[in-house]
Amino acid sequence: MQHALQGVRVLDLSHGIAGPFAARLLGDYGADVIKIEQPGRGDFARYLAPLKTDAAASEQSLLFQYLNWNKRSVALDLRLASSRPVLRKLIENSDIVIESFKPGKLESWGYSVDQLLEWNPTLIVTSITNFGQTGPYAHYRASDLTLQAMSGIMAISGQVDREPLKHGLSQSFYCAGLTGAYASTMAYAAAQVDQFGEHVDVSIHECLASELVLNQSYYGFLGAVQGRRAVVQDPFAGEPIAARKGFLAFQTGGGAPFETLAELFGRPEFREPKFASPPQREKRVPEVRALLEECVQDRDAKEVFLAGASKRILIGMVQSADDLLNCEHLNERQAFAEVAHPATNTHLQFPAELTKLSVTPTKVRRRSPMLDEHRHEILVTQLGLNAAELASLDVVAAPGH
Amino acid sequence: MEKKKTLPLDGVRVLDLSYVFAVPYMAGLLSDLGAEVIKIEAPHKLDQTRGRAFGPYLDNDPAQDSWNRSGIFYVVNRGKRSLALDLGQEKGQEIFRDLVRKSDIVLENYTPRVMRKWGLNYDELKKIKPSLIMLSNTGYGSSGPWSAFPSQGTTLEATMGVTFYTGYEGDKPWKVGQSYPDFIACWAGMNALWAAIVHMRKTGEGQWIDCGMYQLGLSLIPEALIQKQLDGTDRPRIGNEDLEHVPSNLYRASGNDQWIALTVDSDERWSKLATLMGQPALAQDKRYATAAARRAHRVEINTLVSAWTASREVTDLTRLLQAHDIASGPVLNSKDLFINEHLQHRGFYERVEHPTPIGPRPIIGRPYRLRFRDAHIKKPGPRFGEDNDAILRDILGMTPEQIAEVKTNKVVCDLPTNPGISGTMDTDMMLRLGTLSAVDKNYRSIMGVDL
Repeated sequence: MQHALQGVRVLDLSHGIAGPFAARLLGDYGADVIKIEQPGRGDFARYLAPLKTDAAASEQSLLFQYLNWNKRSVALDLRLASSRPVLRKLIENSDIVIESFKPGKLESWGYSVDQLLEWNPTLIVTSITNFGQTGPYAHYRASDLTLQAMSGIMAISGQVDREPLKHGLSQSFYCAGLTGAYASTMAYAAAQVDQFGEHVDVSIHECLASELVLNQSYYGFLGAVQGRRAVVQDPFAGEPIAARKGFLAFQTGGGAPFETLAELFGRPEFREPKFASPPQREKRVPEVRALLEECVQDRDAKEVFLAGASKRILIGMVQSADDLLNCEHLNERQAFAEVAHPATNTHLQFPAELTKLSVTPTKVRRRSPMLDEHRHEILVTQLGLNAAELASLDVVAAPGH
Repeated sequence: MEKKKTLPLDGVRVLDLSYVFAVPYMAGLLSDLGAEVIKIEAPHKLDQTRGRAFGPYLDNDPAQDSWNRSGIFYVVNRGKRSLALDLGQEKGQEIFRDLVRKSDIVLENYTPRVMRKWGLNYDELKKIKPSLIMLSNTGYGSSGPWSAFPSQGTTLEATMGVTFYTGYEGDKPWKVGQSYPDFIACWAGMNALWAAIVHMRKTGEGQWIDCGMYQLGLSLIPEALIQKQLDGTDRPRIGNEDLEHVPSNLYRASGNDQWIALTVDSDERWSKLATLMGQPALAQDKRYATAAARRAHRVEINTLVSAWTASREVTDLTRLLQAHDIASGPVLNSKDLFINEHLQHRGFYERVEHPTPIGPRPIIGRPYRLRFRDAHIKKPGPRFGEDNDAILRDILGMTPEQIAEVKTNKVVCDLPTNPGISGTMDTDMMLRLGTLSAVDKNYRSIMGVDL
């Protein structure tokens, strides 16, 4: 099998979710990814839930496994001078570096972008940080919550008489990982042509803010500041509507004409002229909403979803992890891959394929590494460190290792 | 001779057949990165972003040519040229194939049967351009039992799993943001495109990318998928709070509808917050001193923190909390963002000069800066069919007579043949409902783009 990024060498100096996810995506396309971790403790994502608590402390995180397959791990303390020759060799043998330290941190250890580019002039350095490398918020501390708050997404989410609402789980970091990955490949492609390296400065905050193309147009073309959702929402704007079992979400404007709902539910009211166009329906939101709620209250969401979608109605249903893990469509598409891991003695189904490439499909080629698992393979076999060099690193860098 | 830094898509031509957000945005970004992007629009079916469903029309006035006045269209479709071409006609398909011969990338998001019906699916196009990269974005992908289902981002957000884990505590699932899956598809598609570009430049070989938006949702909720398999439980909906860190929530600040977000992620930071709140004893209080204890007292902690934030302004709170290394920031709205000091400093919005009547506007750029390469929005989004003549003449070498003929036969159109209804947004009603919080008449001067 061919891989699109076969032969591309990635050095993953990052930690947490966003940077490691970006580096892993490059690995999925075939890049050779070496992950550098802090000796002893490793990437802090090694302690992020969900945890398999009977494994060794640094190997419990199943989320870490998801974020770090297709990588090999070496523990190296970047703060120590003795690491410098090794890191230099690694940089000289890389095409892309992904890092997520606070702005200025790498430089404080003697690894400014200028230094890295001096060692390797065609190198791509991708920094993925909360607010980017520059500007008044560059050093702001952030969480998924504060990033979503400051991005504009929460101002338009939730109910107008309640507090603004965020997306669940840790969406910011996955968004930034997706962006950081493509921006890295993009810069690599550019460097392949002109032989100049690049520093890609990704802001997680801006990744989220760049989603607000509609909301920003309300202000930019009309001066209208969009607020949260109405107490009684237009039922065709995606708000989950309770069915007997589960919830449905409806939209209009594509697929089938509106009257198709009359056919789906056996209710001629949907053919009435007063509901015929969006402006008319917008004037009768409570009425049309009550009608729709009545139509679904005695049916199961999935049954209505399948029937409605087959009639080309824009319809969705709220699905949980369990629903997704057992979805006939996802199974047919082979969206999940089973990845076994000896450290946790698990073999879980992970979401493995984002898009299907006809010639160079993505692949989970190796499970996530245990901390420092590939020390000998990378430092000795690949970089050619001799016994003395290796020993000096060991002694100084990893006393508790 | 000095080497010259290039944009990665200098000299690359992209044909963009897509509608609405995900793929049009992808194509807009490709234009920022150097590509010549031709948006091919159907004369009888406007991109929804040119229409009433999204809007808004410039100053809420659809005027005579509403399709050229929709704000969202200009954000997503910046940098492109427009060719209004009827692919349902044989001559339209022939023109398209001629363009494919002179292009590198095709992007589309029709349901799978449409391109096949026109004989313009990848297997056919590859025959005339073996190095062609084509991306097809659909709701459910090209295969599997649901592949023919129609979809848009809003309903997909529910189906793909994100909605189940989003919402106020104890309440039903909630939709959040705007068409979230479209942006995920945009970025995931960009990943696939760039991988395909690298492969093509190395081998000369093109390929087809089958992007099904539904399955992208899985990649965003690994915590929930893993938890379910680990112990059979579901991650709870907990509003804005965090399973692990307490406090991590929104708190009301002084002023009208002002909210501060803050996250305390260590005992040390809890101690700092307690001191800032003027209650240093809370740091030693057994009920709150450790992360586990704070998780058991969420309600009390939320009450304590809200009492402190309620009389303070969000900017003061942010400055104070950040000075003590506590993650925090205000809920910003669309106006706040346009005038935000950080985004201005970063150049996140780019000033784009549109022809009258729109004039200059700040348009969202890209969420990353390149240090050595000048990625930027090259030109405003196109008016409908704006580049018809130039494209037919300059790229395909058609004569004025040939161009006149395809226009007579409505293969190429200068005006939409079925523009649909236009109309104004009922801003008064929206202000009453609260779905708009303000309408600023002087918004141009607030944004600094007075004509």
